[in-house]
Amino acid sequence: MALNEEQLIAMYRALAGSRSAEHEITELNKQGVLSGHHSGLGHEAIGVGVGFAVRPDDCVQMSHRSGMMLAHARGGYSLSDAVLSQFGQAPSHYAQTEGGPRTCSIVGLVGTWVPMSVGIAMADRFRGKDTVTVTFFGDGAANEGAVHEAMNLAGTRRLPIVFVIENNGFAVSMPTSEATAAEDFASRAAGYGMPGVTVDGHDALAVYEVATQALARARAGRGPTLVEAVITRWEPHAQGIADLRSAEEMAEARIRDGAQILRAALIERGLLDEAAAAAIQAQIDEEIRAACEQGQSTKHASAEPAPMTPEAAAALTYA
Amino acid sequence: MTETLYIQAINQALHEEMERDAEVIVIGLDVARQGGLFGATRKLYDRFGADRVIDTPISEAGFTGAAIGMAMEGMRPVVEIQFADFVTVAFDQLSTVAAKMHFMTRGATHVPLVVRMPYGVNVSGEGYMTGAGPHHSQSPENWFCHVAGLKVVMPSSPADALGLLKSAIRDENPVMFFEQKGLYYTSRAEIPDGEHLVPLGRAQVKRTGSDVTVIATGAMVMQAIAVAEKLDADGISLEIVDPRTLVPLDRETILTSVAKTGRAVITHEAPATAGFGAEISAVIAEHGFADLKAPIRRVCALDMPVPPGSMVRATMPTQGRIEAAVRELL
Ligand SMILES: Cc1ncc(C[n+]2csc(CCOP(=O)(O)OP(=O)(O)O)c2C)c(N)n1
Repeated sequence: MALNEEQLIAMYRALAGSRSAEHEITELNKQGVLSGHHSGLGHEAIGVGVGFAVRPDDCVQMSHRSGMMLAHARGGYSLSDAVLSQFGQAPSHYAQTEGGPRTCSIVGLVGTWVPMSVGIAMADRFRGKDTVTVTFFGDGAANEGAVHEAMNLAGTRRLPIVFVIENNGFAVSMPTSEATAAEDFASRAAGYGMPGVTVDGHDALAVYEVATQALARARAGRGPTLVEAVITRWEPHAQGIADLRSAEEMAEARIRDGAQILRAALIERGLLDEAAAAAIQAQIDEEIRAACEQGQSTKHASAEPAPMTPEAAAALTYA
Repeated sequence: MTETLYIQAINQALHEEMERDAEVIVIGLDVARQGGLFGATRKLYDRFGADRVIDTPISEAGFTGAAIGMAMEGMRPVVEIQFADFVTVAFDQLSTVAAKMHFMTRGATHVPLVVRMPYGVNVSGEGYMTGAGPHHSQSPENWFCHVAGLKVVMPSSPADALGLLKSAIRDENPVMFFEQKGLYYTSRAEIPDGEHLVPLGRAQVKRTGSDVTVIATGAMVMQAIAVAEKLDADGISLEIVDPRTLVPLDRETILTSVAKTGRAVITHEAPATAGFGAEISAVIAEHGFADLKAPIRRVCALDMPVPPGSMVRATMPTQGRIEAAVRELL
């Protein structure tokens, strides 16, 4: 399904916007206003590409890298929400909102959430739905046993699920080339009896295309697909963790830029010009500026929490 | 005597033991060039090289299981689990293989393995700070205490971190080594010069007192000492016992203290239900009941996942809660 002109501009808006929000959040971390962020800079086009391909009733399990961009691209999660959530003043993009696009929480152990994604696809099949589950994880997480078990299970039952590996070349300090002896991740798919596709994760249109095909295949009952989106991680693993790459390598990582790639593509098609792009950017900048101002002005208001009762703890812990 | 941070003591123990024994190796995520996420393995890679300081793919079951195999061959691997919480992925290897190997082979094979696990919530002298959420803040020591065949160690100071880790590496059994990660860069104290070994299975009376025994583990030791100093002014005298090793447990030191004071408060960072405090409480009830002048009290985290951010302070065993428990018994 080709995107029409309006959708393409919307895609650019989402990509440029989530890039700017991510940039701002990363900067606020560097300044010490916020802390501990796993920057998604460099991963935006994956989130946006898949975000435009899925249906609102498809269940997406987002990663710690491209999740915010994906939530924004799916709709209902504004740039303002993205910034304010960092200040604890808006729900996280992982949260399922009332009437919002369908998502399911991930957990803090990488790879651990992938089997449950398979279970969600099994439940949807059981109930006769035509929805697809999309689950994101990194090249590092891909080496966890649970991920292999999950993909194998999905293969045996031809489940409606798409596995998206965000291959940014590193797991903290471990280069992908040392974490797997194989050339790529997509070829693992053969071992699970499903197709594997490698795509340039900086190219939102290419990601959209691959995701659309994988979703259609799953929806038609023809089984899962493993998508490997290759990108670069622009920032250190997380704020406060030293990056072992040299300054040159860090600069090189930024050469492939998803926002610029989409912009150039749309300009070439005559859908966008510099003035229109600048106008979009001005709106984005204003929304983010206002959110930052609001976030920072109310940040220190939180009081010392009163001791919690066992009853309150139980109510939070058990259904 | 040298002033040393808790994290430096861990690092020093690793350096010393790797220097001493060429078959001590370190394995885990980001332990080589990165020097560990918290810095515990800094400079080991430069000194001992890639054969002995091994970075692995993210695969806790795989590399923990592989370390067990190395240990069965007589090597002395030290596994780093990046956050203690992630050990769930490797739990099968530890409980199914490591813990039972000596028993199953009638002693023909054993597993001299150490698994280092940074656990817990960020602390400072004032108390708990902020939580890193349910999957990066837990205190899972009691999960292992229930698996016979594993030893469980929890140092509360730089000197103990150094001396206990060295002993753990020399031990012939799998030792689960819990490092309170909040102490890494906040706990600074003197450590003895020269070779410093603290035997496993020996508790320490951190402070002598006469009215109430407070049995505390990990970061709770520091909290209990702060409470004791405060209560001194009111003429209330606390004796503080740090078990240091949970399995095997030094019952005698605990029982001797309770025999003296007649009152016991137990405090740990893990939730109360079926936590290690329940075991200590049972030991006192079984063997020291006649000495008790008041019921035993536990001051632990609420039975819930560790909340993120400042909300954690509403759920943790604070100094205020320890003080209240002590006063209740008097
Ligand atoms: C089971 C488990 N082991 C280790 C970690 C610590 N950790 C968090 S993110 C990360 C790197 C993950 O790499 P990858 O899956 O490639 O994703 P990336 O962060 O590079 O996007 C690690 C090691 C974890 N969260 N869970």
